[in-house]
Amino acid sequence: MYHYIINPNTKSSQFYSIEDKLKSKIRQLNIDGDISKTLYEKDTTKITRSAIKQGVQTIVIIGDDKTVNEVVTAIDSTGKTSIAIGFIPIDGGNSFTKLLGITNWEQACEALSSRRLYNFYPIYLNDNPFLNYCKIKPTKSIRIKKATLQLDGENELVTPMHTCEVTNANLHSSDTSSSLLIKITSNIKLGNQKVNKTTNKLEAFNNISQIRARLAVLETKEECIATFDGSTMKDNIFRIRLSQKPIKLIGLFKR
Amino acid sequence: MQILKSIKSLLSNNSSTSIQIDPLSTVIASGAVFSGDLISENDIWIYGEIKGDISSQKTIYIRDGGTILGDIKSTTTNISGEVIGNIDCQDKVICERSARINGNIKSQDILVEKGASISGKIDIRGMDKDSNEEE
Repeated sequence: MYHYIINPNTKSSQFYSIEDKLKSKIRQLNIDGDISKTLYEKDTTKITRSAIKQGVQTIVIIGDDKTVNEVVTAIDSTGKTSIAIGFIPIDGGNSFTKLLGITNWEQACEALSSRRLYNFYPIYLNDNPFLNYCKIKPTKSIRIKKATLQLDGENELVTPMHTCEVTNANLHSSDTSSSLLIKITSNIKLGNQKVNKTTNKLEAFNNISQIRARLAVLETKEECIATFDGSTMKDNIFRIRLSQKPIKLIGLFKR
Repeated sequence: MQILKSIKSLLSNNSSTSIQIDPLSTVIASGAVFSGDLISENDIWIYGEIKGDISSQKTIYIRDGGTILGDIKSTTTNISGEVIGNIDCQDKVICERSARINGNIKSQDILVEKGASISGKIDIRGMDKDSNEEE
């Protein structure tokens, strides 16, 4: 049983241009179901919860990263792990549909029809789940002199920080095990080498720390803003952890 | 001859600037300090400082300005920074000219560039003759 959630506010003109074709295609592939359009904020959450209560096993999202995030959050709040999530991109797809190997709506319909399920572990940022990408940076335009990143409760990285980005390492390679892939950029633009002012020699240099973990706590004195799959939050302590429960995604997975 | 020199110069310039780091490698940037034991199944690149042991199933690169205060275990270790600790490598240790090592080295093979400094015992096991003949 499928339930389609459409956020027409995102790229609305493109959506209306394919709406009839899309409906015809899902009927043709025998993957039709109820269709809900979101009108107001938090509609996505309400629709998702209500659909799950009615026994829907597959939620299909036609919307942006924020819509995806709202659906994942709503499913997470129900505690159900059997619900599968599918995506139909409207105009070439968002960053997450690329992970699933889907670049257009027709391909997405074929993927839903073949129903290849894939276990994917969401990431929690201060207890808010997200699937794709999170970027943390100071609210003011400064470089933080000292950020502390505690890793898996054992190790610690102390570093200057301009931005911190977090994804699931599994997004980069399906062969690798799921873990947080954390990248901290300490400066804006510096290449692989710099001139040592004392010796005047060219030295190796890298301004990006990159590390994997299952649990991380980022702490800064300065207030930071985190942007994750279309949502934002402000804080100076961010607890980031990989979920222990996977969610089920439908895709083609040609990476 | 002139063309050959130009090509050589071009190649040497490229090799010094284009460092390709795998997206899943662990990297500790310049100015960053990592405390604890660092274990990875992928390459590890150190430009900053490590206070603890590091271990990789692939290659560990300690770049110019990088410092390790701990032991190293890997398949290959390429050092142009500083190591205060013992090094145990399955295949090869490469000490570039800016390398400074204070500790023992155990490996199948070692390559030391002129200018590198090593203070400690070096135990080179060499290639296994039998396995060499089989190849």
